[in-house]
Amino acid sequence: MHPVLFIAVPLLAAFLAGPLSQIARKGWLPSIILVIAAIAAGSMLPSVLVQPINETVVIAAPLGINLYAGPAAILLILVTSIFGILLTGSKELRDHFEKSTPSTVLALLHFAGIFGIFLSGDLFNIFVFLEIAALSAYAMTAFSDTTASLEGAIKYLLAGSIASIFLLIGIAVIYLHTGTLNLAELSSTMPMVPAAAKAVIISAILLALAIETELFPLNLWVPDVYEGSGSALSGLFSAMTIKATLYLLFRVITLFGVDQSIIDLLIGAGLLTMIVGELGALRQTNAVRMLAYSSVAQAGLIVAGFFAGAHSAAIVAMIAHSAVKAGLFLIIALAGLSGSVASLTGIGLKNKFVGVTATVLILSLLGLPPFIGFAGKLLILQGLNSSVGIGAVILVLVASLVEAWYLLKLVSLIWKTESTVEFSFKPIHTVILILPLILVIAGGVYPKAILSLTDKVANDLVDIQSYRTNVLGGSATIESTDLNGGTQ
Amino acid sequence: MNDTLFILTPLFFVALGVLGLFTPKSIGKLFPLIGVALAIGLFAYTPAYTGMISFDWIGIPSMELTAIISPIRLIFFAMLLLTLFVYGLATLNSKSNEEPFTMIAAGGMGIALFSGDLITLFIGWEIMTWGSYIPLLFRKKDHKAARRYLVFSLFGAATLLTGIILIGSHENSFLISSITRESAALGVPFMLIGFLLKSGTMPFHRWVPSAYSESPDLFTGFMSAALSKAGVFGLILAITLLPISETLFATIIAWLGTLTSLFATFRAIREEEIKGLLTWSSISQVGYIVTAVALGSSLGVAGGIFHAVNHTIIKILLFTVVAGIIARTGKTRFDQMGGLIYKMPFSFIAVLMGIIALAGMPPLGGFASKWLIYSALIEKGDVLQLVVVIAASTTAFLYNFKLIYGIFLGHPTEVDLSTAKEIGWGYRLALVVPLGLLMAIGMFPSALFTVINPILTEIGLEPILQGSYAIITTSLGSYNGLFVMETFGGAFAIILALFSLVKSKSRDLNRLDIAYAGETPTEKMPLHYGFAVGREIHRILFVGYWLKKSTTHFYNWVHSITNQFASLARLIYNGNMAFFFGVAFAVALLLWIIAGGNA
Amino acid sequence: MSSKLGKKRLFISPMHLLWAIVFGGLFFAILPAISGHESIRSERVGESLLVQAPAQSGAPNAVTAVVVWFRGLDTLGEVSVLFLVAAALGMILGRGKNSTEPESKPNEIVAHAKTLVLPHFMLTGLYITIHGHLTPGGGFQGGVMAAGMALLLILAGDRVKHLHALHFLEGLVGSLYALVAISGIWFAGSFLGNLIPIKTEAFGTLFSAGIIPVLYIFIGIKVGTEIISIYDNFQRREEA
Repeated sequence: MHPVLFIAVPLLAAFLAGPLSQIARKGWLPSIILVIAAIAAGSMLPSVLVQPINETVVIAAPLGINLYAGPAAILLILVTSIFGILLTGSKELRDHFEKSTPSTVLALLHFAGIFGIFLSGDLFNIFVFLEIAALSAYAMTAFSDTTASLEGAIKYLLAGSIASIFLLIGIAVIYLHTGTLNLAELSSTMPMVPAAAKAVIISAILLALAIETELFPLNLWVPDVYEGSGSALSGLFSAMTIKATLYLLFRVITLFGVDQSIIDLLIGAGLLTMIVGELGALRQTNAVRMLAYSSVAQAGLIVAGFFAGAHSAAIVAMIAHSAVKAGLFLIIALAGLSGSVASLTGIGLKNKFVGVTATVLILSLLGLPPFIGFAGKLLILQGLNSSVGIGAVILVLVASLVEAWYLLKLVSLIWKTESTVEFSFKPIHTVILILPLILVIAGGVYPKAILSLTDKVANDLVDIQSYRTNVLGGSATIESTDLNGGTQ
Repeated sequence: MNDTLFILTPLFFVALGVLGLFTPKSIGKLFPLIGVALAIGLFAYTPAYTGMISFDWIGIPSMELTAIISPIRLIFFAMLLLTLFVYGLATLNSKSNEEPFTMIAAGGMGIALFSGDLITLFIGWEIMTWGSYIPLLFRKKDHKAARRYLVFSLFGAATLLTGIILIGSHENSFLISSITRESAALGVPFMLIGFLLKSGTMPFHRWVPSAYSESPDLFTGFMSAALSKAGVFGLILAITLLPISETLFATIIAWLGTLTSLFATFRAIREEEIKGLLTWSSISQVGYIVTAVALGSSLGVAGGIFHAVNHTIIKILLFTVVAGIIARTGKTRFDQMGGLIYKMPFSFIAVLMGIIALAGMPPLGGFASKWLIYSALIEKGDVLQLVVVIAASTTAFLYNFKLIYGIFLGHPTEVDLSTAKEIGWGYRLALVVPLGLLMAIGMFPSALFTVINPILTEIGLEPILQGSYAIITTSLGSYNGLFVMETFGGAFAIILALFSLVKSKSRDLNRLDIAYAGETPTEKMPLHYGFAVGREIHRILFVGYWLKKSTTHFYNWVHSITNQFASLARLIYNGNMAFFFGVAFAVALLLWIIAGGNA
Repeated sequence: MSSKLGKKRLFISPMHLLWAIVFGGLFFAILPAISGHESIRSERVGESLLVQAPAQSGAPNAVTAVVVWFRGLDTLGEVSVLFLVAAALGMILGRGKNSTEPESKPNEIVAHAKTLVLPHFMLTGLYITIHGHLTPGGGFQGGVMAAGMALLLILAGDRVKHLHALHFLEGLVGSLYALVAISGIWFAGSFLGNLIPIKTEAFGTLFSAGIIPVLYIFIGIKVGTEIISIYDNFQRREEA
């Protein structure tokens, strides 16, 4: 199995979107591509857990571009594509896809970009895929032809451009001083970079990644973007896009081996993001905006958890968050296009399954056992306690209380009897909700199954030495310029 | 393997609850009874008093889930089973549909009770919490109470979790048996807040009245009788982990319990809703238990457990009767009731026995436990506390009187006596067991010590040896329950005989017999004054002052502060991209400085 | 008027001046960090590649070999970005707009000159594209020239008549690019692998550099069609 196909196949499908849309009618094309990606990732996962695949493009790393399909990348591709299907298969997005081929193209390119971020082992290549993912996201935000949607797109564009500029500056300075952009080689050369240059590199790259991972205070644009893009797309961003950028942040920061002060800063920023995000979500009347703030907060918790040493737990939390947000945003999309909290009134009584799923997902998001959110949160809290102190734990728990206050408002509305809202969705549209429901319950009842996976994933992320060996070969040194590896 | 099956009973409960979500309502209603039968069957099959089972849940050795059974866990589980049994019988006759969630909550509580480590405790605790939250959503009214209940519970859970993490990281193990004094001193204070909150002790009681009044009527009984005991269990666990009896901390908790019992009694007297009265009464009774347990002495803990058992029996009895009456009449307030004794004699007797026990009057079981608590306070020398507890207990007569008079005596106001019927057969059947138990405990109070003594030994206290089942002995003296019961029974029989002799010469009054200052009262005018008992209680000097005090203001303040912070957060999220650019560049500068750029 | 407004705005917020000073200072502070010629690697990756490119790829223009081949995945990504932009503009600008009528009459000179300029444009573009591996230039530049030709036609009053054909070509070339790249996995050992053998003996001739010229032709057509469709989207307007 060649990892590059994760990138090439969506690209190919995007180029052929016109004719393929005639075959996969009614806007199913992006979902089909995601299904293929999920199946491929699923079938690769067992072997990748044992031995990561390092694919060379034309010429061996560090000279050429390499794609590194480690456990982390493949598992996250699997998870993000599974929960992406929920949203690309939703009526709201399929209507867009069916109406115009460009929408399909954008979605497919977005997937190619995300998979590229997961797989690529070259910093400039990552930049290109980040651009593909980001540019397509800007354009997708403008799917629905409304003022809010266009406003969101412009804001996303502006914020994303800042991130791109800083990332490019960082990459340029890295290349100037190290002479390479290969991540594996950078992991050994970064410590030798002069301190002044390293400060520029770290600050530029961190700034870019903090914007992309929506860390406070660089996430001021997020609520407007989510609100403008509508519920299904917000779900897609929440379930897929942030996961890719989080992965990138973890990968880059671990490989660069930054100082403890930066790690502390990231933990602090994560915690701050969480508390500010939850406070922002309080008393929101727009459900999409509310969950956007919630996504921001969860991303903050994941970042804080990861850098506090709870690597495996952070991955579990990422998976859990993907499942929960995909499900919740899909439910909001089912409820109607308005996205207001009131539009959910009584949806649980109209369709019990939707109501139960929403309730379970919300309980999981709050970190209640026996749902998967609990396992992740417990381990993250333990990590925070051992590396920061009990204050951080209390902060997270207080933020969770704020979170409970607004999420339970949703639960109350979902089960409210006096409803004047008319729902137009068919029961068949809700079947897909079984996916997050199963993951949330099964993963919560027996988290060992997921943790045994995420332990390997986390190890893949933090074990720099084996990453270097896998990418550069056993006798990899800085001066290795072996050219005979790649192209025959 | 066989003896481990019983430990897994809580899991079966949860499984039954989940199954109940997918089965028709009529079958789901049987599940509480099936669960109780299963538990009793498994226990009878392999009567185990100790046992342990572990499960590698998360792949981290120090975080293995462990379930154990021990005497203290068994007695609390028995209370749960009793509640579930009564609830299960009564619910057969009701229109409610919350049974699956009751089973989940019961299972969660069972998991918490059987927990051998703190993670299991927390998991059970939380399953219990959200399992009991969902029935609150079934009421057609505003769901604010449900949300308040869960948020308060989550606050308790958050403090609990803080304590658990502190202990776990200090010990590198979550096993309850491996907790040392030092780590307990770190974590137990946090955990205690969670336990006190669940038991509804002031000042964490704010959620109780609204949650109880908004929950389905039978489920309220379950919450009051069973779920509040989880807090008591936690409290006993806490004093086991951290022998706090000598510290200031214990004094504070004991006083919190004492004051809870007093102020909740005042509130109960003033209450106009029937369930509201029982709610405040429940808070007040748990206050006694907390006081007793926090004393930390053998007598105190024994009294606390004894009172917990009594309270379970009494509250499931009273709540079930009241639920039956509300189901029959559709009325919930005292001023709508009255005169139901003619149509509901069985309910009347049930409530009568319930309030006798609740007031702690001989000859029923309530007396024994209160007597133990008083003895414990005297033994300890906490005279001031004793005075308050006795004051609360005496004042409680008022609301007990209101309960029985408001519902059954006087003239009916809004209830149509011609169509009113006795409460449903399921309710009546359900009440037989608690009534029998009250009588039995009244006659043989020390029989309970056969289970309390092993508990005292288990938690490292001196057992209180008892001679015969009928005679309960403490350091302060002894009394013979059987003798008291015989005396009271005899007196009761004589008075009843005399009364029935005189009865033939009396006749019932009707509305027209009453000359009301020269007017004939209209249909709407209430003719019994039971409902008005305690209406003017706030005019009493000290009581009125405290009744005006309420934690509501504090929680409203927290709410408004949080909202102000939320507004502040939204002020930053103003969608102004120029502002964002400024922030981005400022952060870039900051990052550069932190990354060591200025060095 | 505008100058007056501009003057006024200059002094509206002293914060701007402050920011300017702060970031000006920051720029000079980081200047030493971002200048310098020494790299930790004895030879930067790019330099190594440039040295090895001609021998390995058969392309005298080493930059092309790096762009199209060694770092071909980046180029594929960049072509996708262009495609993406065209699609996005098509989506946003194309909503409810289907009239292609010019708003005003085209310039007479342009309309006449187009026939004169067109062949030269086309030939140059073609040459640049297919000689990308030999001389400076390549698919991007050639494609832009082709697109410039289309812009000239549009200015001269012509309209893209066969939009479907354009999109078909766009998709076809893009997919061919991707397919050639993918088939390299199985037929040439790596993604973007060399399907066509490199003729080292014919170094410096048109058919020497394996698939690089083929890919550059795809890139050229792709870039050209994308830019044309972007123009097309810009000049569409809502039907009156």
